[in-house]
Amino acid sequence: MNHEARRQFTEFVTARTPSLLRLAYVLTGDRHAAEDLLQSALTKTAARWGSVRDSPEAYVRKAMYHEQVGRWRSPRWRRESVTDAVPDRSIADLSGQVDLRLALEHALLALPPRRRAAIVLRYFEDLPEAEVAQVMGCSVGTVRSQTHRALARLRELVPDFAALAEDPAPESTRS
Amino acid sequence: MTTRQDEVLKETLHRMAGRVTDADPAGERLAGHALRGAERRRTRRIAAGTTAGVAAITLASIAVAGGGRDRAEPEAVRPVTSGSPTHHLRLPSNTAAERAVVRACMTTDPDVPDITAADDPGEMTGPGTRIADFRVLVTYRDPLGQAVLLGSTVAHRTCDLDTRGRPTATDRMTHQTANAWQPSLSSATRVISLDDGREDILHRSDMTGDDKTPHGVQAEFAGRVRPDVTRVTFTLPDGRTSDAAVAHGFFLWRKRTDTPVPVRDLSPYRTLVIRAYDHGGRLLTTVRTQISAALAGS
Repeated sequence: MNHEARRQFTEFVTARTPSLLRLAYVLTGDRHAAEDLLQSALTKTAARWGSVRDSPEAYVRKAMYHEQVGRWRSPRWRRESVTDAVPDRSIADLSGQVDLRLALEHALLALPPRRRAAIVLRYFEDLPEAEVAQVMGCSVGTVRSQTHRALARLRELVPDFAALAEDPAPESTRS
Repeated sequence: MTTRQDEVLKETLHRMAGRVTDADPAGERLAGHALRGAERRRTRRIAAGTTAGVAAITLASIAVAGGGRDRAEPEAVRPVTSGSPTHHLRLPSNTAAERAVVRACMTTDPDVPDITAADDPGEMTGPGTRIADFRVLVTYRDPLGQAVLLGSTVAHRTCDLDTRGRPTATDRMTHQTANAWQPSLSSATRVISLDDGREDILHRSDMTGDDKTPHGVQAEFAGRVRPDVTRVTFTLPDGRTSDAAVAHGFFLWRKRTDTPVPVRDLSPYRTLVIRAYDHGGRLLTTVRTQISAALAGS
């Protein structure tokens, strides 16, 4: 990579790191893993900078997604595990006692990476199904089934979340 | 129509993402690492190209959790040398106590992702995917409690229980994932096959949200061994060696710390050496994998 390309790459990374790191964090649920994931995606991006320089962010996001989901197929991936400081407090219990969103966070982290990624792309990135399918490299039908299964699992894990299913959002907060 | 459920999900994800804005790593640092990593990848590709055909050993890739691929790839389990005797594993029967362990660890039938499906993974169903199909294959005990490797003819998963025999909150969740055996149990078994190698970041269930500092980390390694393997040892970089539990042709080992571990201390990874011995104490094979520095004792 020549000097000008290195400058462009550094400029891109400096400008977009906060946004990309946030995406990496919701994909992994762990700050350390998020930095690793982003670093790995940026390394791939740097290696292909000549061909992706016109839309590098899309490439980084796709690389992060595939890196994270690839771990799903691996026999080894780091998960978050909740141990008992307070006996009998499971994820389902948290929903009623502490905070729906905290319970939902735990439940999101319990999803397999591919399903969590589908949720992240749809609800965090706000991508339409067709674009999610493009990033995931699958059909729109697969996106729908992955999202459906992920939501079903979240509802199962967090009953209070399930109870919200039929409630329409207030007009002011609709997107 | 957007529902309250959609809104809450979006809010939760953005709330999570918002936690990383305070101490973002310098973009220049990340860019510098990426550029150096890309250069190393290129160098490795060139080197690999010049030696292609020389190395005949096939390595099953084991991805290190959270691992950037520019880091040295973890060494994986080596296949047994050709001509070695082969056998097929059979599942043991559960005792009443073991059936209770399975029920404690699996509150519902597990999800068994169909890893053979390239596009939509879906779930495997049928024999081997129900609670009743799972056996306790091997149990590893230490002062913190016990870990068990549960397995059916189709899939396997580990479960951690405390000193009173209670599974962790995570293990008590419904529809835990069980991973399909790769290769299948009916395949010939290597001297040692690492089927499950994982690190867990441990959070106490009363610590949530912004205070969710990991209070420990645990590594577990489990898999299959050939019948002539009677002892499997794990050696940390500082030389400390401990034995895995071995039973019915399966093994399980774990290393855990229950002291607070800053996430930055989880990497880099260190080499973990696994050795398999026969009844006479003869070393049958040595394989290497990796373990977080936080657990490596160095």
